[in-house]
Amino acid sequence: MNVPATPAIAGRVLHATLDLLDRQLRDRNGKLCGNVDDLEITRDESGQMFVTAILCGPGILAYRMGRRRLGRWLEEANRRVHDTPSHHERGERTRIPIELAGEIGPTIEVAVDVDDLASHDMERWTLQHIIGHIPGNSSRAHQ
Amino acid sequence: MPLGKRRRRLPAGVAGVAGVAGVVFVLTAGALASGCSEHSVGPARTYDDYERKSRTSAEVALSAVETVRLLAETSSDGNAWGAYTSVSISEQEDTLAEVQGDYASIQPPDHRSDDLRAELTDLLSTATDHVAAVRIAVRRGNLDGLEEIAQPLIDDSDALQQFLDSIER
Amino acid sequence: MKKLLGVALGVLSAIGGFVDMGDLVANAETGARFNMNLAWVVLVGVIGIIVYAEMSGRVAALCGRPVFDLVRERLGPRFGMANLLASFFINSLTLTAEIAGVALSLSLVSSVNYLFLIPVVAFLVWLVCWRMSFVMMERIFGLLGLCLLVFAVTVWKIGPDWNELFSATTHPHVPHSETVFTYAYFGIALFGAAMTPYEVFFFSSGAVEDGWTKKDLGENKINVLIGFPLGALLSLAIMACAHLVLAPRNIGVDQLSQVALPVASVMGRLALAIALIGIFAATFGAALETSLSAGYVVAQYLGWPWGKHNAPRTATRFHVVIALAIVGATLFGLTGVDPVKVTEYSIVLSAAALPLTYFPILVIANDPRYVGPDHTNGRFLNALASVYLVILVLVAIATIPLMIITKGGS
Repeated sequence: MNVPATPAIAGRVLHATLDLLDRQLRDRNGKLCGNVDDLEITRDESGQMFVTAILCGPGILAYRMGRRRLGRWLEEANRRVHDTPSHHERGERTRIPIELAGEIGPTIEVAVDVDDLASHDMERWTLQHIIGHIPGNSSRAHQ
Repeated sequence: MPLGKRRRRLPAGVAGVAGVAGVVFVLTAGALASGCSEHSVGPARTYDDYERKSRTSAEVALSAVETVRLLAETSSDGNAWGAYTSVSISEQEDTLAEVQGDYASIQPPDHRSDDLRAELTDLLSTATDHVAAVRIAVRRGNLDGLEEIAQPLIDDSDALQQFLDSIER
Repeated sequence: MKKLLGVALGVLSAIGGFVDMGDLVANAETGARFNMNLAWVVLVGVIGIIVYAEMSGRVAALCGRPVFDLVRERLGPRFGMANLLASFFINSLTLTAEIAGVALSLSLVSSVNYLFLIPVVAFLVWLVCWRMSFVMMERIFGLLGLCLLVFAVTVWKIGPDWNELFSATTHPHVPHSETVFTYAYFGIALFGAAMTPYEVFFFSSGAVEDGWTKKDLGENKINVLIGFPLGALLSLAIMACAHLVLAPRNIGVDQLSQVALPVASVMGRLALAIALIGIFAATFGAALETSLSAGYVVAQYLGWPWGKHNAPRTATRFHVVIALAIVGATLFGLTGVDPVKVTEYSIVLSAAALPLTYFPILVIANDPRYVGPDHTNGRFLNALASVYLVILVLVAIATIPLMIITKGGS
């Protein structure tokens, strides 16, 4: 589903895109990379509102459900543990521009790599510090 | 997905109620899981109360005694092996000890209850001794002779049954 | 031919995998206390699980995602969170009960105190979750679970008055020694044991792990329509053994060892050994399922990668949750809490939370966006499923009050 930029049908589009909320995301390689935790909605000069980005990452769902402090804590905790270079702006790794969202099947496919997303940081951290140390982590189970 | 077709969501109210219910549920469950037990030793304030607790205790004791009897019989028939019989009998012995301890610690509310207490405490004590004898025998490896050693339990069982009948309403 | 074998294995695994610690305890306890007067609850419960398991299998096959995964997006994150919290808590209690059950069955053959065996069992459970393939897990423990058929053989050997057995099932009454409240309480416990939520989480996620698609819908139906009822027969056999051997002796079931006692008494050592193998397989299999379910529900709600199908490194947080769930359950078990009591609480609380689990399944199975326009529920199925939902709500409402009134069933 592609969201057109013209505000004219923004109203109807808003309805439809709210159905995007909480849906499962897959990256360009088909890997699960979080849910649509929230949506970024922009208002243009004529007052029309339309969705400009999908938001996904630690703390965002908590914010949306009203647990601001929890959301902030989760966001901070994640920032401390991830090892992405600091030149990435805060919020850049939790924001997926809506143009990158396609929809194939029951999940929403986004044209990003799972490693670009903050939602995957803890997964990587867990791999490096815990799972990676346990023997047998890299092969499929015995058939 | 066709534009404009909204997915039906639960209205916020229902979801909120579900959320609250969920929390209440978890708390209740937690409280219950940590608190209540069948052999709960709350105080008995009336004779009826005490009688009820006496009945429950006697029933549990009867079950334990009968289980040990059946285990002894099964073992003597060669139908079970040592570990099974031994562990099972120990479990019942522990149950009996717990009932004995719990019952003894309930404060009898009046003098009428004292008679009840005296009678049941006596029965429990005798039963405990006899069950211990069976446990000692099984741990010594005497699997075939268990039925004989468990003979006294028949009387214990009858006595407990009589006790229960006597306080039956 | 190979396909037939696969279907047969699936059915057999469903039969053997139907029974867990909750069923063992609940069926034996009620058989000893209420004779066969609560047998009808098992039958009602099995129809319920058939209806809803078929729906969750269908959803998983047609949209490639398990039902729980869809709860958040279909019913909102708040409902999903309530569902997650309740499910995870009950699941943890159940996991404790199952691990304790495995440890108890091992202690009955080794004389080692079951508390020492709990950490060993926990480690084995984790290891199997880590290394054994999903299919192999289902097959091995499902098939070994068929050893529980020895209970049915025991009933046959006793040669009971079949008329009497059937009449109690079809014309149940509250025994004189019990009250309506304890009858209802144990009925609810039995119902909770028959319809425990983790079963559908596991069944649904398992369908995705096994890679089910549209062409497996038929197999789904067969597994569910044949496997579950026969599994229920195992439950009833356990109940009947308790009724025929323990009840006449005024024996109440408060230990796992007593569940197998009728088999030993009537059929001897070999049968007892088979019964214990069956109990071991049933509880170990259930421990695996509840461990995995812990991972499934958390990972699916939060959108993490999940699944046993691929290497652990592709789903790291999922495996960490599983490990933590096992550790938590182990620690709780090591406090010496009575395994049978924990089991009772887990099934009763399951009963209280059933609507939370099953309501989403009914909604999603009717949604053509997930199952396609041709595979939504038919009218009859919807009617039946809705009736069950009403029953589940009534059961859920009655649970906590009854628990308090009967003081936990005493």
